Amino acid sequence: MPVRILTVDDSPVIRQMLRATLEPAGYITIPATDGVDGLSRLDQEEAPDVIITDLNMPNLDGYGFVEAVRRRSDVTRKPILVLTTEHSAQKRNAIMALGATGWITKPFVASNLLKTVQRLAPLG
Amino acid sequence: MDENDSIRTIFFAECAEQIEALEHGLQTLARGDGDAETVNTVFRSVHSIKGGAGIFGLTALVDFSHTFESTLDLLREQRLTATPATIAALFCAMDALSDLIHACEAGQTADSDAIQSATRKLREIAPDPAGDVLAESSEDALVLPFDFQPVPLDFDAFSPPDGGTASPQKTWTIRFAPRRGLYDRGNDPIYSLAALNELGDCTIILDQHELPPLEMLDVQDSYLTWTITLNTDAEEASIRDVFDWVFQDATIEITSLPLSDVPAVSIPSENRASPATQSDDQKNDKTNGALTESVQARTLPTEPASTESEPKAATLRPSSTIRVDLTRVDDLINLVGELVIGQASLRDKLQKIDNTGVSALMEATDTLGRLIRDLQDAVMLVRAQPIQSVFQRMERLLREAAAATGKEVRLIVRGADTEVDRTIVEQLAEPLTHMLRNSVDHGIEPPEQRVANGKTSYGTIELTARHRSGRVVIEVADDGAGINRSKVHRIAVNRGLIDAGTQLSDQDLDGLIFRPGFSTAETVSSLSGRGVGMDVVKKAITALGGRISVNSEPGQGSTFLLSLPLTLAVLEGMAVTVAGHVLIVPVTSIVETLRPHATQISCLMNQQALIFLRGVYIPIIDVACDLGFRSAPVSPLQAVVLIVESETGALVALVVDAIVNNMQVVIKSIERHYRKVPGISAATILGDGQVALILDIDSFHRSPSPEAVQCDGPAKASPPSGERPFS
Amino acid sequence: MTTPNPSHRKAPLKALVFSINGQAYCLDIMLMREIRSWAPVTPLPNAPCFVRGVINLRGNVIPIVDMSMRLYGHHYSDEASRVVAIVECDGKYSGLLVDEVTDIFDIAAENIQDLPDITGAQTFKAISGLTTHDDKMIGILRLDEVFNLDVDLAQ
Repeated sequence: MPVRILTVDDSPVIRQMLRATLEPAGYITIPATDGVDGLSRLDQEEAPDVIITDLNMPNLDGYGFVEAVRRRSDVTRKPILVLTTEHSAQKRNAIMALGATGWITKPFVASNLLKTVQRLAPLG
Repeated sequence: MDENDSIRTIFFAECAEQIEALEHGLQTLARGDGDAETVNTVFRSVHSIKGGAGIFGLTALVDFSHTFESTLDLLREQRLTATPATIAALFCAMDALSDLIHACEAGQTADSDAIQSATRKLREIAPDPAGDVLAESSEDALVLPFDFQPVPLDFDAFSPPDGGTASPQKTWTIRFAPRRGLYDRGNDPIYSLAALNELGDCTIILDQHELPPLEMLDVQDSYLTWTITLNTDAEEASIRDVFDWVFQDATIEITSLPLSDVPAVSIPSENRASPATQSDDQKNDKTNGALTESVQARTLPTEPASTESEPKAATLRPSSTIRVDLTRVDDLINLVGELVIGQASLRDKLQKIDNTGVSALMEATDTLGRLIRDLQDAVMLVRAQPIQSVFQRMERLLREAAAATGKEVRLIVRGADTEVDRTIVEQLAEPLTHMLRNSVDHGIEPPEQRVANGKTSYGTIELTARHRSGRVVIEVADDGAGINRSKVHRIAVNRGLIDAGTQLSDQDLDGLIFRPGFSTAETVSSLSGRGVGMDVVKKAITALGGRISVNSEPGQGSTFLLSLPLTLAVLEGMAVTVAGHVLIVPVTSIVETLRPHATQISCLMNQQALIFLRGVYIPIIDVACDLGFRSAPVSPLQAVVLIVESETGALVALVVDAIVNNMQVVIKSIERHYRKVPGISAATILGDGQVALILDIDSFHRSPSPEAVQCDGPAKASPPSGERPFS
Repeated sequence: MTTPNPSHRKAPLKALVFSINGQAYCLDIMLMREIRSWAPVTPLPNAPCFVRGVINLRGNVIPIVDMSMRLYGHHYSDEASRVVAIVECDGKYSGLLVDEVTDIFDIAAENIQDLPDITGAQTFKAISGLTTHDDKMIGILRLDEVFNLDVDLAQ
């Protein structure tokens, strides 16, 4: 089975960048446009190995999404990376308190992102 | 991935190793070669099994191994001596323990009679059943597994390259104690440990003292603490960065050490196989579990830890092995297979360029090719394991078989360290079991008869393995009565395998025992019976790409020879062309190749052609027609005929257009992305990147096909070029 | 049954459009793995007529389905210019031999129409719905049915 990564972001550019960074390395990305779409992807697809999510999104934002994911038994302990432009420790602590595994600051450097993901979900 | 399952898997693998060590130790004691250390080893094996069993709440296993261990403890304290009776009871206990482990692994209830009987025997030999020992230590059975010393775990089994220690390097000691929240947020200490390892040379020591007794253990909680000695030129800030995500969920203490305290260990920082290969079907569901698993595996005391703990390491069983997930090995083998194909394809393309500079390139490519093939051989060997594990099982089998028949049998094993592909080792157990049972049952005579014939009262069975020309040859030789040929002849006639008047050579008569339908009620005794005969053995061996034969000398004994391939991932194939398509025929199935004469070909009324070869009529099958590549068969006289033998030993003559060459091919599944294809067992990839199909020889052994080869002249042959299989 | 086939549902999807016998069809782009130019295949014995054979895709042996044969029952004439779309379905890879890849576009859920009740040919099962793009009708393929090897095209 390939390693699958759910990417939740309302910006098609970011989704595309994530895909362009991760897929050539051998990952499969499952794109979702917001928190609600992300949750419905979780319902439809096999549980992903890693979840990457944006914070500010319509319908359901990153905070709500992370909280909801942590309540699902199938992915409760899967790593969740938050993409954030926030540099304040306060915001970070808030998202970590909800159950995120870590964060990546936007704009991200592709190689750093890839390295982080490879650590969380190494390919065979 | 369920972590519990992976630990469980590791536990049962460990048990198997402990049983092996136990058996080896008991055998040493039985020969009278044992010393105090042998007894210690034997004791530790049972002790480890008991400890592990405690973790999983396998009460029956804990209880029995405890009883066993108590008896061994008496032996260790020299309150019990290793008399033959004692050894016999210990062997019996070992067999019971082994069965119990298998039952636990399969989730079944064990045969309580066998356990009770073994327990009784243990009690009988112990002068004092040591009730006090029992009572006192049954409590700590559950605590034991967490009892062993912290073992430094290194991330790389290979010797480190000389790092040429740069001067700004500093040594840090980091204590990392995660709390439960870290796991709840999908993190794992391994991420941080791996990141630290990337910063420099790292020694990581796991402290599991906080682990509570099993009944108080909460699998969701965090009990483990790591102490990391890091030798790096990175700043403290970089080290702190590693823990950026986990500071709130762990206690982290970072202190720098004065240089003089640097332990003399150096671990290279590259700890993982390179990720992100191109292969499409990587087995990646292991993901983070894989790394976790390997760490747990290393915490088992299999390797002498590091330079500092030498005195302690001496008591550990020295082993230079690592445990690797099989899928990883198979991924590696597949990649090397790709490399072989890639090189062949490069060579193929170079060959087509007409240029003066090319010959040097060709030379370089050929060198590359040789290296790749060496690499392939080396990688294949990773799957290899000594045949020992299956041979060892035979000792027990023989003990039981001898006891059941009242015969005396001695087993001599040679070449147990011969290595074969793991799958072959596993699949060999059953046929070997039948063969040995057969030897005891039909080969070895009862003691009184042996003595009357001037032989020793005990029979001897020799089990030998050795490598011979790229294959492994296994010999099962007994010094029994040999094959009773007149009886074989009579049975064969009764079963309708031969006509009463048929005269056969001794060799051919002996070969009849492998024919399906030979072994039935009359030859089935309580022992070798269970409705299984030598035909089943032959089938199993053929399925592994092997061959079996027998040599027998009346009154002197019989010798069975098994010849097996070293690996199942590659196959020695003969490339042939059929209606313009290249097909691969497994060389092991080919008896001979020939261009037939008209006088050899004859024909039955349904147009089925037959070839007459050394007194036998063999049906002819046109491969192209059979596979639908051609509508009318070619004349065998204008083609090449391959005589092939199926699993069942039946012969068929396959008509192909031409033989190209012999080659080693890497076996590729068609079912993986498609489905099973009749007539085809698998595929391979040729040097030019094209897929070639591997013929399934056994599929040709069925009732004659309606498109049987016609014998009236060569005229009906269609041109041997590209007709589509379907239109 | 690990990879759901989104074309079953009326959900918005990003689709890859290609033509088969001049008619436009599409598939959820998430099922696509890569596009390759046509290269000779190794025919398989006793295969359905629309399975052209197998190719080597980086060491994997994968089947090639001739979509023209699958949907229309005959080969498309100009073979050399055709392309193979590699798709993944239920963890298995396969190649779809199509005329050409023409477009990528988003289909909103409300723009997907169920297949009208067309009785007769079994091949219609391979289409889950219809949509319109640039004033042209596009058939949405249903991969699991496309790969139903036991379908009898003679019906």
